[in-house]
Amino acid sequence: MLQRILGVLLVLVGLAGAALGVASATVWRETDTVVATARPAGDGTLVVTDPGVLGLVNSDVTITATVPEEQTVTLAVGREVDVFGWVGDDAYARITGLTDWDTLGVTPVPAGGAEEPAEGEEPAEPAAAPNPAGSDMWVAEASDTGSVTLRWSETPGRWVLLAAGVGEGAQAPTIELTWPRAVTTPYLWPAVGGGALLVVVGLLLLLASRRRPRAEVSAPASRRSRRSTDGDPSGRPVGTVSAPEPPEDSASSPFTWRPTASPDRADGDDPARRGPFAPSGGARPAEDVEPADDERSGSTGPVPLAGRFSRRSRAAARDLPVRSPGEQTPPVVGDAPFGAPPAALPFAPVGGTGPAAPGYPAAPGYDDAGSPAQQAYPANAQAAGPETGSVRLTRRELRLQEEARRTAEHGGMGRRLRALTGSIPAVRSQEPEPSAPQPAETDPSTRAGRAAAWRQAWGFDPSRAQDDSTPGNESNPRGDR
Amino acid sequence: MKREATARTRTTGRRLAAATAVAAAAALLAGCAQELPTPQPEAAVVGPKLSEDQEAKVISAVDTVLSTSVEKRSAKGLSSRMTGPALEIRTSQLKVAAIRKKDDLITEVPGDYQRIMPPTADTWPRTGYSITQLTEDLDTARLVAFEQADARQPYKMWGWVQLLPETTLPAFADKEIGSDAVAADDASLAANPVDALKQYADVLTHGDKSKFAKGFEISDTDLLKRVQQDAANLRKGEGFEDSDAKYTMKFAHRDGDLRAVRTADGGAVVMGVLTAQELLTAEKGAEVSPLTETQAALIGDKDPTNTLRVGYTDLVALYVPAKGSDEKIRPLGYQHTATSAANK
Repeated sequence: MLQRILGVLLVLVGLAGAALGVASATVWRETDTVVATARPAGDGTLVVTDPGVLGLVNSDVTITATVPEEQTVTLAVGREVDVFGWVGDDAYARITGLTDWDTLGVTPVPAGGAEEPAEGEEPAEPAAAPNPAGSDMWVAEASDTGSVTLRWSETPGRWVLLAAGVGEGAQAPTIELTWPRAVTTPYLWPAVGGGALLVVVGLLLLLASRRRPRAEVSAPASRRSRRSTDGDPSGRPVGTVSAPEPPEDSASSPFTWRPTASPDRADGDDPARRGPFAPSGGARPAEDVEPADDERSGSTGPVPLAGRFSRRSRAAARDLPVRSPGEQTPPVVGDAPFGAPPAALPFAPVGGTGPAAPGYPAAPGYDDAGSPAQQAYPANAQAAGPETGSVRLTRRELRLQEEARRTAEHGGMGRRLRALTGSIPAVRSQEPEPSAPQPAETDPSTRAGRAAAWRQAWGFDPSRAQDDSTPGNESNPRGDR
Repeated sequence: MKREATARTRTTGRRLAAATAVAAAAALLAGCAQELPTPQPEAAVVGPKLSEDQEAKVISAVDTVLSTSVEKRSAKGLSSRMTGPALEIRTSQLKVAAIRKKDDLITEVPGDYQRIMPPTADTWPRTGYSITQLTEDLDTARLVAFEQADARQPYKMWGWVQLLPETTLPAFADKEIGSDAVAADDASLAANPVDALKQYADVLTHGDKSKFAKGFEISDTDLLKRVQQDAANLRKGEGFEDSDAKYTMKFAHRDGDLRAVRTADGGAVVMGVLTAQELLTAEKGAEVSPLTETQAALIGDKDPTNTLRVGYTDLVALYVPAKGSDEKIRPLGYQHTATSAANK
């Protein structure tokens, strides 16, 4: 929960950071120009900048001086000594620099050049304000009534601006300096990048927090299900990502089965647990499918298998009713190693009854899903191999090849993605390997041993049967197809 | 264990959040509080106080005024761009031209310059030189002195001399450096500017007999030669001896009217005013007519007498070497103009 809150917080902060970064480069982006204004106060009609002020922000500056209309204003740029020489002892306003980004600092300098007020001196008789226009010393100048603009590009040297209100009743002009400014957006990408990072971290946290609680919840559920079935220790959470495993188990089990030596490994197996499978054993309703397979299997004479079946049918007498209707048992049996029936068996519980079987022919599905049935196959074949001919082996090989091909087709990203998301139990296709001769332990002579052998034959390791027995588990892939 | 992990995660998360907040706030603040620039002027250096462009404008402005005055044969308005001896001489020339109704005796000062020697002084007055191109008549170039008397005055032509043919000018400082002004009593020179002018005046007056003659390197085209030539011509002239005429020409320097700038070798070029009084007297009853058209114009239609007094305002330029130099003082050019004439 805390993790989730933290995740949400991080996501929000990340989004906010990215938004701020974008804003810093858009709405909060500084203007391309700096415009600073000086409003001189005090005596005098002259305004002089300190050296360096003109190039304060940028070497290019646009100077605008404004005086009340019908008055004349003159702007001039000259060397510091020239300008101050020209100003002489007159009062002037000194622009000292920026006090903030919009304002220029102005210091009035009284007549006489002294910073402090002249003491007891007779103020000079008011004369027409002098006009600096036309001096040979200026390198740039402009003069006009009301307002005048001058552009200046700073060059090496101590250049200062002299602005003068000219004429009778003149007053010091208001000076506006405009510099272009190279505006950078240094926070854009760091903020966006950092924000994105936070969002990702937050999302990861959210994902983790979502996964964990579910795991916690599912554990009891699986326990419950286990209890309901049998309290089998190997019970696995249902409906979790771990789902893919059961097929593996089931896949491995077939290899361990040998019809010849099937010791009773079902020790402790109780029929109740086997129950669900029993019908599957009886899922011979799948035999409906068989005719299709028959063509292939027609030539084969899986006598031993038939024997096996009969044995099994005997063992699972309860199922017989389902099976008995199918008189073609022998052919079916013959087919069993190859076709749907074995595959169907594990799934039979889904339907629970024969009617489910018709769905079977959709076998292609189980192929590529790597359903247990598939894996069971080779085992069966193998089992049958010794007793049948090479023909069958060839077919098996063909089948295996086909399987491998389909598996390959369905492998890759799509499969991996599905595995990742956990939406579909991803089953790793497994090549049939010569299995370890575990089955040796099963004793076919006993009933339990036979049952175990049967389960093994159909891909249900007695020790793991509980996992596989969960109907939903196996039915899903089938249903999907 | 799990709780611990959660707690740790929470702490980490909080720290992360706090750090993020701080970083974001800092970034925002930093963005808002960009430092205000402060003026950082370059160090003050001594340099030319007129760029070439500026000096070109000055010369052009002066030329405009000069041209206008010549067209109108009037000195009106001339003072806006002329001052000192230049204004004095020009005014006289314009007056003569007006009387004669001819401009041919007005010294031409071309408005095109071939080089400039801008001033470097921070204070006023400021003096700079320039050298013009040759005139349209292929007369020699003029060395012109400009002066800015004070900061609110424009640069004005203070004086000019016609450079001597085939003279060698000393090396001036580059226009990007500017030429320093030299005080009238500067002690770093072989002779200070005032003394140099005095000595030259003495040489002009007394010729080779002057005690200063050895200190000067006089070329054949110098003012001295011209004066001597004029005198000789006069004495050889018809009736000079018959009328028992006497002829004298005395030069003197005029105080204060000199402008000097430093040359690259530490010497100086001094431009100053010399006045000359020419007196020609003959026995009683004789009549001495003006020697030149200028004099005639200045005298006007007054009846000639046995006396002729002519006043000259001369501008001379001297190269004065630095103290200890092997070089002699060398006249570079002159402007010899009769500005007054009387027959009393």
